[in-house]
Amino acid sequence: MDFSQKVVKAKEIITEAAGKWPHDKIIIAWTGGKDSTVVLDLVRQVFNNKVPFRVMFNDSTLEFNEVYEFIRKLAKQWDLDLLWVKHLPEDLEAYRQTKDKREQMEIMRIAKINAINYVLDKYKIEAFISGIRWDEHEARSHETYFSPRSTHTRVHPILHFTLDDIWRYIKDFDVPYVSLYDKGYKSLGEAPFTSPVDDPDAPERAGREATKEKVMARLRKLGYW
Amino acid sequence: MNSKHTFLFILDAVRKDHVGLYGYKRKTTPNIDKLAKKADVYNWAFAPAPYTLASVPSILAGKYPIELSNSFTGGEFDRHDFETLKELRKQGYTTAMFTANIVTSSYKTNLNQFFDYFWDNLTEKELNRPVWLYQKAEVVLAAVEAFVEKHKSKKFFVVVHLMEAHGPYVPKIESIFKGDAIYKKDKRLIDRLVPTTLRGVTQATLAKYKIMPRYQALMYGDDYERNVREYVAKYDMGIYLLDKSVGKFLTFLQKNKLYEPSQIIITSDHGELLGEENIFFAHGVWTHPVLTSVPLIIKFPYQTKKIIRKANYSLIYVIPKLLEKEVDQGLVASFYPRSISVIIKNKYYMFHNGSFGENDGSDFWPLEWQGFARVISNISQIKIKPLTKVFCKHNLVFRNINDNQTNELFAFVLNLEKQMFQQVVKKLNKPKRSERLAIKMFISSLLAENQIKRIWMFIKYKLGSYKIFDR
Repeated sequence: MDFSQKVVKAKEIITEAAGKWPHDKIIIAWTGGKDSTVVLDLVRQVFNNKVPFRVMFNDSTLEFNEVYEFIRKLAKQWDLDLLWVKHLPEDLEAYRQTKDKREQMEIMRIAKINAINYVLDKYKIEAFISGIRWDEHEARSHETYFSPRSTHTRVHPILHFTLDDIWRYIKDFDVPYVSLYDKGYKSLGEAPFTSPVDDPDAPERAGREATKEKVMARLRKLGYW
Repeated sequence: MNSKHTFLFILDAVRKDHVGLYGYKRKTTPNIDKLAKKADVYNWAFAPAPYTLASVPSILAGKYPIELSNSFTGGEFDRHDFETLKELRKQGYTTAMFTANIVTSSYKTNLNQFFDYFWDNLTEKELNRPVWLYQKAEVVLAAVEAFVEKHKSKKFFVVVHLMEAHGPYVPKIESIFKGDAIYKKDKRLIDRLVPTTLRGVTQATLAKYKIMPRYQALMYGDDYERNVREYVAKYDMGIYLLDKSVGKFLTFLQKNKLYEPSQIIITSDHGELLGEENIFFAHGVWTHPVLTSVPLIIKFPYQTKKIIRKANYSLIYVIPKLLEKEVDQGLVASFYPRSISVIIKNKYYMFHNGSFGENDGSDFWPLEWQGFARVISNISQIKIKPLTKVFCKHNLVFRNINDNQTNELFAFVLNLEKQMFQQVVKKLNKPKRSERLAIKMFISSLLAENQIKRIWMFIKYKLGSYKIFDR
């Protein structure tokens, strides 16, 4: 599949999802990162420069300032129906209560999941579109375009994109992105757990805190999804 | 007739009400049910603590956790802790323990030093905490069979601690109960994951959300299985697999003509919260009745009839009772040997600690070990009145207390907890938060003796003339 075919495939997935579920039952997860921004742009391409679904920004309160600025600016520019969802107060309180980095990361991880499920339940969402990719992480290499979950279906339009495809798409279609990528950040997580990477050949998620990465690999290895 | 061999099966985290012979609708335990047809079945057996680290050593020692030298903190036991095991040796038993649980293995304790033979070859990694090793029941029991074959000319006491019902519940195995009537009826969803430590969970959280600790979660990348029924079906499958392994082992005993002459004890070290107080798939938090009320079946040698035992029975009694049969005397290891409960309209109520906040009453009790040692050493200087032996002579069961009196009783208990807590905090002079939490845990774990004390005080000051049934 060449690049243009990959783009067509991604649009087909989005079109199929839009035909399968009412638009108010679909939500797009937007982190402000390059992948989910590409997904937003693909949706805009399908729907004449509009995004007909809700867009959720899952705010850990620990994101980079550049990410917050980017979210605000692009949401306005693209006229997004943005749900700005802060992590639940109980999770933030638990985070504050511990200084153990391993536990802090565990709390951040589950806080993200809890916030998503809070929104899914509140708006009775049936389809959750996210920008994960097969090559991004071994743990995601077995995902499918439409992945049924406990209460909804996960939709993954750019599963088949590579990292190079993402950057090519951004350049070809002039998609805005967070300036941190130009400062050595390869992948954007929460600010305390993410750092720039000097080595240009380092893996995409090299700047992410290792513990979280190991957990993902371990979970995937045991084969539960 | 005295037993030649004794096998004590501790099936970790098995709730009484999920065992077939106690009325569970799913056929989780056909083999244990069959054994129970010619055995003593205890309707009200209680584990001495709601988590393994305290419960299993306590059962083996015949003492409550607070009576053990390491104060159930997971440190090393000293040579005086397990007089029961010494006594078994004196009576000619070769003692052996086979464990699938890291908490009772030589990785975490020195329990191995108290048995003639100890097996803990743990090679399986827990799903979400791979440093927590365990072992499959079939592997453990193969080792037990090898031991029995090698030593069958001797008289032995064998403890077998198995893990399949402990979470994460048999994650790699599909449950045979998936799709059945119970499964279809259960529409509940977990609302929130919480840290494994339960940090941050408050009473307010529990009023709003159904929670589960992350270590139990079946993850799908950045999502997890939220259907309660999936986990319950897997939990029951774990019990089913335990039963299957135990059944296979019993067949092995029968083939070797060892079944009839042996005493076989099947129990659990604690239960599991399956939605009580909105907490799913956790234990060790506090002494909720479903965590401490456990199955207990004892098949005596050549037993031909089933006997239902309705009296309260603490698991710390199991080994002393075995010895009592051997030595024909009232040997009781614990200073506080009796168990305690309240039964109202055939429902069991335990005097758990409930919860009380440091300030606003909303704090929950996370497991917090930091600062424990200092708290333990300081708390011992405080004159919390020890029980007098007169209280311990009674196994107290109240019947037919009405709801108002029950509420009053619980309020009274909680108030006592709070007073105790404040007394200790004052003594420690501005303890750190971790120490305050440790104090709560400590008080929480003063289980049985304090329950007796509280109930006694309640009778004395509140209920006055209420009749006490002395068993």
